[in-house]
Amino acid sequence: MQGTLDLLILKTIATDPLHGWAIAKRIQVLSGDVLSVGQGSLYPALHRLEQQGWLCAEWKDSDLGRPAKVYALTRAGRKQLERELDSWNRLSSAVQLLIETA
Amino acid sequence: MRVSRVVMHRLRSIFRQSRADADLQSEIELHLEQLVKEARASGMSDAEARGMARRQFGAVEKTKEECRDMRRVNLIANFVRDLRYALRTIRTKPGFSGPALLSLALGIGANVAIFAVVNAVLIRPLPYPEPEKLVGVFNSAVFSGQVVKEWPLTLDMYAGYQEHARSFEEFGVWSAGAATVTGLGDPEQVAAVTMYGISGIMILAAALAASYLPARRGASLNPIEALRGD
Repeated sequence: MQGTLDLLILKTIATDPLHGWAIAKRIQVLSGDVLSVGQGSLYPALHRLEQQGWLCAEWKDSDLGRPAKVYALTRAGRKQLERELDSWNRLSSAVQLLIETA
Repeated sequence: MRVSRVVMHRLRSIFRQSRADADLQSEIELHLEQLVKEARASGMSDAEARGMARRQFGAVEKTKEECRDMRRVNLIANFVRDLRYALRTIRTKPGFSGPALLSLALGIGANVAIFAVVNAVLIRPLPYPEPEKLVGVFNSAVFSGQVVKEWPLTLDMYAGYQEHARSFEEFGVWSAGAATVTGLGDPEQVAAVTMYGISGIMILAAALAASYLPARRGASLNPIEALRGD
């Protein structure tokens, strides 16, 4: 689900800016290896979010030994994260409700 | 703030395409390198690790293409492709493109026709020399402080203007009204301009008559009627 990937990316870099590799790794690790984001969808998503003005990117020296493109949330990105969280919470509680009562 | 950043970003994507492409290239290479490193760390040979990384990453070029799509740098290429597609659709679906083209043609035609009229009546200068010298003169009268505009013209006043006014070369008179046209069909009332005056004004009369087509047949040059007109 595209919306879910956006939410994962925005949430992952909400605390500190990360490069693409670290974003993929962190999503994998924090989800207990349940979620793995393919590069084929991660990078287009990053570029799309940057295009929409929700992320800003900067080339910085990184832990990988050479400069990496590091993504950070913009103020608009933070608002978008809130919106995505809201709609995710609504969706998941609706699904939960349905599972429990149906 | 946000809008300006988005605009800058898009402009950069379009005008500094090679730079954006190089950035994209090294971003993805870095990711591939990490995959290779990871594979090496798990005990693979160089070649194996490289192959593993490639497989894991998937189609590199496709990913790059998708990233470029996201940045809209394929703007011009896409436009050309869309244009070709549109032309092909027009040819293969005459049932749709026929009416579409027809309505476009009618729309453009109507616009041209309306503009031609507006241009002739409003925009183009009047068809006689020194049109800027032609002015309308209106009477106004003051009664105990009250200004009455467009006070009617009497025959005496007209004669007075003719004789004494020095600011104008000549005077003419016009009156807007209505006329009834009778003939073979039903009688019809049309807007009419009645006028009396001088050569220049007569040319104006022709021009006005031409622009008020329905009024043309009602135009009369009866001086008495013009002077009596209010």
